[in-house]
Amino acid sequence: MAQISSPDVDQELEQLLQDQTRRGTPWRTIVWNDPVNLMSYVVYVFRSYFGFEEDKATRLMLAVHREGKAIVAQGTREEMERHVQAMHEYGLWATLDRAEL
Amino acid sequence: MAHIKTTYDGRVSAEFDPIERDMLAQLTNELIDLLTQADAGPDAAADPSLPRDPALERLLPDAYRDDAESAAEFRRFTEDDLVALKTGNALALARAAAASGPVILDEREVLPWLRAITDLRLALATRLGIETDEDEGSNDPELAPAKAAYWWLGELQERLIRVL
Repeated sequence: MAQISSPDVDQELEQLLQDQTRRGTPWRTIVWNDPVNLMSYVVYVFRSYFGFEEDKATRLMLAVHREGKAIVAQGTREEMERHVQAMHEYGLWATLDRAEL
Repeated sequence: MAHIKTTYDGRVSAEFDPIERDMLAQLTNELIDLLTQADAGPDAAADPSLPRDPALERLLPDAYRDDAESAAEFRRFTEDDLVALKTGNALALARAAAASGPVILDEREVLPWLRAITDLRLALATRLGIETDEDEGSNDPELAPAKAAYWWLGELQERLIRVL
C-alpha cells in the first residue's frame, strides 16, 4: 500500500485543525473603565444598545468601574466589530479580542 | 443651570441660559474643529505613525488593543463614518445652543445630545489631565473655564438621562 501520509500533509492537517479551533473560538467585546463617563450614562448605553435589563446593565457597569473592564458580548468577529464601533459612537472605550483557547 | 424637564406629552424640554448657550456654541465649535483634524491628509488614518491630538485619540480609540495591524485596518474601514456621526452630533447640539427659548426633543433626538456631551467631556478631560476616577482635573487657572464646562456638561448629561 502506498503511504498516504507525508509530513507535509500532516502539517497542513494540523494547521487546518488549529485554524478551525481558532475560528470557533468566540470573540469578545470588552468595555474599559474611563474616568470620564458617568455611571448613569454607561448603564443607559448598555440598556439602550444591548437591550439589557437594568440589573444586568448595572452589574456590568459596576464590573467596568471596579475591575477596570467587563466583557459585554461574545460572538463572531464581525458582530464584535459592530459592537465596538457602536460603543465608540457612544464614546465608551471598547476593544475586541479573541477568548483564550 | 439649564432647565431640563419632561413635557406633558412625554418629550424632553431643554432651555439654556445665554451664558450656557455661548459656552455650548464655543465647545461644539472646538469639537468640530478637532474632528476635522481626523480627516487631515489623505491617509492619516492609515498611518499610525502620525502623531494625533490626544483628545482625538480618545474620541477615536483603537478597536484592537494588542494588534496594531487589525486596529489600523478597522480604522481604515470605520473611522470616516465615526467622525461624520460625531460631527453630526456636535452640530445638533450647536443648533440647539443657538436657539433661544426651550428646545423640545423626542427620545430619539436626545441621543445625539448625550453622545455629543460625552465627546465634549472626553476632549475636555484630556485637556484637564483627568486620568483616574479620583482626578478632579488640573487646577491651572487658565483651565478653569474648561474645568467648569466639564462639570457642567456632566450635570447636564445626568439630568437628561434622568428624564428619559
